[in-house]
Amino acid sequence: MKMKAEKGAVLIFVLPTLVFLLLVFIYPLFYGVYLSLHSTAAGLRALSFVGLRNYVSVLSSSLFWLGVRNTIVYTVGTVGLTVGFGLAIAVLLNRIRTGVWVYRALLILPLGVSPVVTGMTWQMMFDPLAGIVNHLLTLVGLPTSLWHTGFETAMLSVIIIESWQWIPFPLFIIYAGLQMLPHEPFEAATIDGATIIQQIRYITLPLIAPVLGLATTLRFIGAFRSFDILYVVTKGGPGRATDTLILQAFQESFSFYRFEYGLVVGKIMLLITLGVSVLLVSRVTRGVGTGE
Amino acid sequence: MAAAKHIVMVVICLVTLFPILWILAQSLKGYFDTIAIPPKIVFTPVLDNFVQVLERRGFLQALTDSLLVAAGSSLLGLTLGTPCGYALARVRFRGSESVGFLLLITRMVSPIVIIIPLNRLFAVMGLIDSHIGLIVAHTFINIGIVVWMMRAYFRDIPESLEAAARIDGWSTVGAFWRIALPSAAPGLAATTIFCFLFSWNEFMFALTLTSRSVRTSPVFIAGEFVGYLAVEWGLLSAAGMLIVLPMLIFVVAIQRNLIRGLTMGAVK
Repeated sequence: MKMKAEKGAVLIFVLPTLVFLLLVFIYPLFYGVYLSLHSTAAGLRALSFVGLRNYVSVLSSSLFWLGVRNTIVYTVGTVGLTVGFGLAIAVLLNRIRTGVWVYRALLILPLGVSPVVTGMTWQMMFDPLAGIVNHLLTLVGLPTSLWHTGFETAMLSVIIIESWQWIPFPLFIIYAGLQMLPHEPFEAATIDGATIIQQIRYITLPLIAPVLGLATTLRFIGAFRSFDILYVVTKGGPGRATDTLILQAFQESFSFYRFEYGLVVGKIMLLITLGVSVLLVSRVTRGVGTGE
Repeated sequence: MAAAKHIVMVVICLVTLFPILWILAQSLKGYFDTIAIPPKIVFTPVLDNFVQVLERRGFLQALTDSLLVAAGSSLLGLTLGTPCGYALARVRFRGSESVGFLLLITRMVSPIVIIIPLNRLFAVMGLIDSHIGLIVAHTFINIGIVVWMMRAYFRDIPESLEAAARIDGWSTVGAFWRIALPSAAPGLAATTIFCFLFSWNEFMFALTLTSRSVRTSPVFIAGEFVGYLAVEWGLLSAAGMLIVLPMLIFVVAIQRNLIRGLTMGAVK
């Protein structure tokens, strides 16, 4: 594009998106900050300015810190499981020559399942009495579990469900990275007598470190904001065993009309997401794995 | 060695597919088979659940609402975002990185961050419980993907054609409309499916911004079959199958682009 026409054209091209974001994102964001500095006890129409009191009361409540703890467990658990399994399956898939397209088509399916349906399906499968999972465990002589209905096992259960849904995501990111690796180092290593495990440990992993980082960061963001499965399966229960920050923010606001809590927790989550996104943006603009 | 790899892979695929196969099995069971203890693995398949679910008040309406909102938000998102993606692909202008980052943020944050003020705003504007309101909210979810995906597609198209068109006296907008856009048709198709999928499956905005007049299928299924004492597993499974099946076809159809979109164009 020539310089002269450029400025006007750029404006025409970019303006619709910017105006839209201004109305639906930026304005609500600042309006939210404004609301969070007010007491909403009498509803969103009768505000009274309280300064940072809402922030102080949230940050000093044990409920909030329980939410922080649960969010960390949930996020670390699902990131570990999804990236771990994703990596293992990707490495295996990359070593297969025939029928790869069939495996690819089957393995990607969980990404299309609506998370609400995922949650309800696993609820049905995990049902302690009539569920298929306990039935299969009994058949092979293993102990059964209360799964999402038990205080001790609920967190693990929702982590398993979230991981089932999302393993394909890091799997195919890593697979794309593996496909782009050069052949030479592996051929040299094979000639030198390196085992497959040694090749993976000393050649594959260092080479795909950037892709692995991208998959981990994106999964972290995804798990951190995950809502649907938790809401459908446990709603934070039993007790508060799976009550993460986002569930708290949602339920305090829309079930108990304590909007201050949701507003403040929303702002805190925004700050964390912003931090991670800054980390991520360097990777995305560098175009990991595309050679851009 | 090769056989061992395939055996492991088949086992992995079976575990992956198990929940989908199980909900399919449940949807095809007669009433007493769905609630049998222990659960029945072998049974006579019947279509009762599907017939009942389609006759159930609200289900077809929920599918229609989902369809309208998904189609509307895909259209709005593409209309707004495609030119922006083009500009980001072709020109480096002041603030182009900020625009890109802002759009990235919209994909990364949870709707919870804006949901309360947006609710208030929509209430003032009369957009609560309307198709338009939910279309706008879902467009917010999709616009980042549209811009970043289309930016990646436009980058793959050689600039020379547009340059030639401009030497022939076409405007920038004309070159975009008549040369770049048609060349990016496959990208547009993939992006449309992408937006549709995200809107179809979206839950939190649908749960809070709509209630009676508009009820998309995730909200319908989450509330409809769970009674005080029992869950209607057979009906739930049939409804779930009907909601999920088109999306499974979409996902296989856009496999490669799915990962590209989910990584905002970072992985091809």
